Amino acid sequence: MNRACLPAVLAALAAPPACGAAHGAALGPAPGFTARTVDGVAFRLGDHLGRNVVVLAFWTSVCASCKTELAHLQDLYEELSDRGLLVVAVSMDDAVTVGNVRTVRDRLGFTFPVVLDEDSAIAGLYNPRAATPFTVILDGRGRRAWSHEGFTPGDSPEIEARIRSLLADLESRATTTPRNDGPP
Amino acid sequence: MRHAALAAACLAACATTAHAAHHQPPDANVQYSITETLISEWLWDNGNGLGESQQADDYYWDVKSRLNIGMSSPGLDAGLRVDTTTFRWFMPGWLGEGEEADRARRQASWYARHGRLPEADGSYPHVGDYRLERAWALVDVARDWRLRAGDFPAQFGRGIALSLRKIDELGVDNALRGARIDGRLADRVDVTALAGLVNVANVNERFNLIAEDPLDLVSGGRVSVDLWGGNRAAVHCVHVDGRAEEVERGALACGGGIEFFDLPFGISVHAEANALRRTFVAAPDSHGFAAYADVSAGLGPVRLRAEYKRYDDFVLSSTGQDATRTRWELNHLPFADSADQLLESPTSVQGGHLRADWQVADDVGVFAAVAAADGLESENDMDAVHGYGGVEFYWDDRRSVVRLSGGYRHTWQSIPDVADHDDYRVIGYAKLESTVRLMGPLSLSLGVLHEHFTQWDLGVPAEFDRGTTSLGVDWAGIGGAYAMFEYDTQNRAPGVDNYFASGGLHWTQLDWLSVRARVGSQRGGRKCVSGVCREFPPFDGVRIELVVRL
Repeated sequence: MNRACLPAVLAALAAPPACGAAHGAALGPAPGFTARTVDGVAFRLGDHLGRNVVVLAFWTSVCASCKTELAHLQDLYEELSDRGLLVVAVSMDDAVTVGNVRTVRDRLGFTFPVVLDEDSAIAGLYNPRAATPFTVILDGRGRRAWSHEGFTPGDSPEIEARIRSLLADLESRATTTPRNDGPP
Repeated sequence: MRHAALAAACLAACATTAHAAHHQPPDANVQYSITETLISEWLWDNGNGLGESQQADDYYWDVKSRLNIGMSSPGLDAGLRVDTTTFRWFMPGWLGEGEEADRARRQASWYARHGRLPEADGSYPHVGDYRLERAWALVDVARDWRLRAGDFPAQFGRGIALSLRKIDELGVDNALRGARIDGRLADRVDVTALAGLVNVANVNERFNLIAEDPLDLVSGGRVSVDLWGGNRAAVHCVHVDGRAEEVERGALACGGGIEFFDLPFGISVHAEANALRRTFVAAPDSHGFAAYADVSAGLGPVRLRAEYKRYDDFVLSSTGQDATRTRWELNHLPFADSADQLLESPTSVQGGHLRADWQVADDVGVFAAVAAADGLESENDMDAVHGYGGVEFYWDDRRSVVRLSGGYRHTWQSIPDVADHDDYRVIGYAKLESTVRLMGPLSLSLGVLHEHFTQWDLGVPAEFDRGTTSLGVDWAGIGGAYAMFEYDTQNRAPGVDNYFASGGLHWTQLDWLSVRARVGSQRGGRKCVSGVCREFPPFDGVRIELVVRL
């Protein structure tokens, strides 16, 4: 390795706020993707970036804690979708278990979009470790605001607080900035 | 390759630092992300009885790093992954285990497992793997048209004809290195065309062995038409041009299917059929066939699901072998549930599966299922029946849950002229999973699995048990701890462990850093990650994992 570059590598790795897309000052847009929902409908994330606070919840139908988290997100979605919250459950089930996704969705009454990441391409953009459960929150400007691996019931208050804070920011921008009247 | 990897990582890191140094405004159009997984293990005798054999997998340490760097800007996403892995045999004398000669013998066995012979001076060559594992760019060439160059995952339909994807960070992680374009025509026709060399994650994490990429050339395409309301029909073809060509030259698989989501009574249907031709160096072509159908329907609070599969010699794999002397699977044949993966003939089988899920109340659900499989192998084929069911109960605003399930599975094997008893294996199992919110950020998790096996060897039955009990406490925003006790009484031979105990800690207080550590012993056997079940060796040692997300 070029020795002159080593300090730069170390500095990059040791400076979370500078790179801090996920956990500090968010920079730039999050990657967009198009995927099919479990109902066969095309879902374009790009249509919601900058318009909604988006929660991407990576899960599989065989992951117990994932289902507990999604049940909590369903409660938040019912309460806050009118204020601009969008929850997207990204199923990382592979061919063996993907047939269970619709059953879980119906049984637990999820009303938010459930998209299928059958070839792990979406995970490659947001969740390169392919961890489950894995939660990414995109702010109202379409930037990564927070991510978290794992879920326990005690995580619910923090997730809710972060979502409410970002929704407040989205609403304050809406009152000070003319809205773009493009497709929702 | 090694220099290219380091140069690319250096370049990206320099760019990241430069970006930070220039204090770009909040609305800058480029975003970087870094995800680093760093694992170090010291493994001692895992009690599998292979200590001095050619499969010796005891007494070594390893350091593995998986560095993912991503960049996104409007119309362009790009990324790379640098994998580094170092293995070193480590059985110091102060452990007090074994004499000098014993340690030397173990050392030789361990290096032989990695294909390393001693140098003239008695030392051993380095064992490690360092490479630019993934590099890719994803470009929006037009609305709904994206071009991907470099490494990419690929799957058609349910993966019967092609499935090269990532399952977990240090396990199954296959991709193609080449180019792929996905697009949409007239807002109802989806098109995918791809070509690339098979590029796998080169360290088999289960067995800690290094393998080279198969590099078979895979090309294919898929056209999918939206008939109405998301209901679709699709056709696809995949061609494999073998690189090794020692036995098999390649294969061609073509198929088609339908996906209906919006039929009366909430019925949804996925049906797919594929034909396969494989060509060999010194044998006639062989043909395979795969048919799969999955139908589900909702009747009020009850959801029914029926599945049918028939696979006739449907094998689509690399022409080269991996580190464990098996060939990489280029496809993935679906099965209804993880227990069905116990089938010893998954590529030649027909069977069905029927499952009912009933949401009795908002917080209570029950399910029951039956499955049957008829092996189609010409020799030693397996037939099986499986019944299972369970209940799930939520409370405390769905913050707490308990799940109870159990089942019975019976397998028969046909071995003409060898044994008159064709029972092969019976499994009875029970499972409990529970997470309970205690107070404030505290929660408790409990998992219990017990499996009782009766397995026949030439008509002689042997009974054994396997099980896991774990108890964990989590403090949200801080971390947690767990303790685990396990048993596996199948192999009672001297030197083989039957009981295992381990414990672990994780610390998650910082958003950008998490640390996990575990120490002790854990049983091997079939374990499932994201629904994909594989055989794992036992673990005995200490492991520390750091995950950094920036």
